[in-house]
Amino acid sequence: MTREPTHEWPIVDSETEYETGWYTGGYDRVRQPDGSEKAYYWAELPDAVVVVARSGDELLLVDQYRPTIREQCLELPAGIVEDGESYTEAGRRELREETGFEAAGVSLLEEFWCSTGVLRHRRGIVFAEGLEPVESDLDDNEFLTVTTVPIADALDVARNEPANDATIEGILLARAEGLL
Amino acid sequence: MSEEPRDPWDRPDPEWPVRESVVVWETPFFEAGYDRVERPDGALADYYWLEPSDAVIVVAPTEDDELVFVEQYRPRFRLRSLGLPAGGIDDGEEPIAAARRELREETGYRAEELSYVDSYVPSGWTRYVRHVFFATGLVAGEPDPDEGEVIETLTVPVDEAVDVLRSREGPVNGFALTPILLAREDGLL
Repeated sequence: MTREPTHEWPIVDSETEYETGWYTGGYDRVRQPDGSEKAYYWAELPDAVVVVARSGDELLLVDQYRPTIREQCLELPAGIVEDGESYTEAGRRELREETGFEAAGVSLLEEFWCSTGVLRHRRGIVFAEGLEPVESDLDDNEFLTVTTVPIADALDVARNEPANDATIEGILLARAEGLL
Repeated sequence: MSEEPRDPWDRPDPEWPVRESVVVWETPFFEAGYDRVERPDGALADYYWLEPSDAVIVVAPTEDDELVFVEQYRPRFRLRSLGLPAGGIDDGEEPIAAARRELREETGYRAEELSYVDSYVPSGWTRYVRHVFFATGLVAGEPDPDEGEVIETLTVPVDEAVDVLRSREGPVNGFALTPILLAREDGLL
């Protein structure tokens, strides 16, 4: 179902204002249907992948401190998709690097816009099964521990503070598909 | 104002000491910058953050079991997107009041009752909270969009809401999907 805008929303100007190693920030000045102009700000970063990894009746989570929000967080394993990688390839790699598990099967559940109000950033949620332990190869900026929770408790754990969208969304989506 | 910081990133004693916090980019809608943080191994590292106002999202079924959606052009993505009534919380506004206001402004619907569903952060590096509310007793009225805002309201049978959202071409609006699935999970839809 393709939906065409009823107005062209021409871009009058596009500026980059803040470049970091993590994202690029800027704005587009856009002409709105009523003729007024407005700056729409964005922060653009590469796609991320979130991995719902099931091992028997357990769900794999990572426990890590998030300096930006100053909270210790229990989350689904996740990471940035590298150039040329698909969501499933990136999910398989992140799972191996973050948790030390190799998955027999990885499938894409859904692709999202993470935040329509600020970010230009997509998130893919993948489901991984058939887990076998291999050697862990942690990125050096990640101080994290791997843990598991019973699948029956997973949503409650995800909804406990501090809760994050990616983990709740991944679990709910996998449940909706009958995978958890 | 309460004594407790409302958000965890305002707490004065983070577990990893913050040696410096720098605002680099200020826009009318958010601030962005970085914290220079001391990790457990003693190394200093910069963690970027972006801090808009907190947001509310409203899951609002009508008396006829139709879910209220809004459709609008997203200049940021250069395409139209389907989502739920939602928006930023104004300074000093309670989340529930913002939910009531956004529903009315964007769709015209007045809600007799609003109940709290859940709150979460969108990601580990953006500093804002999304609060999800469930609205009942909807009464139709005139929308009152912000200047320049062009929002269409449509309703979809509750049973088809997830499929409709997911069947749109391109990535799904994650802002909308989590609240609908949460409301279903809680037996509200």
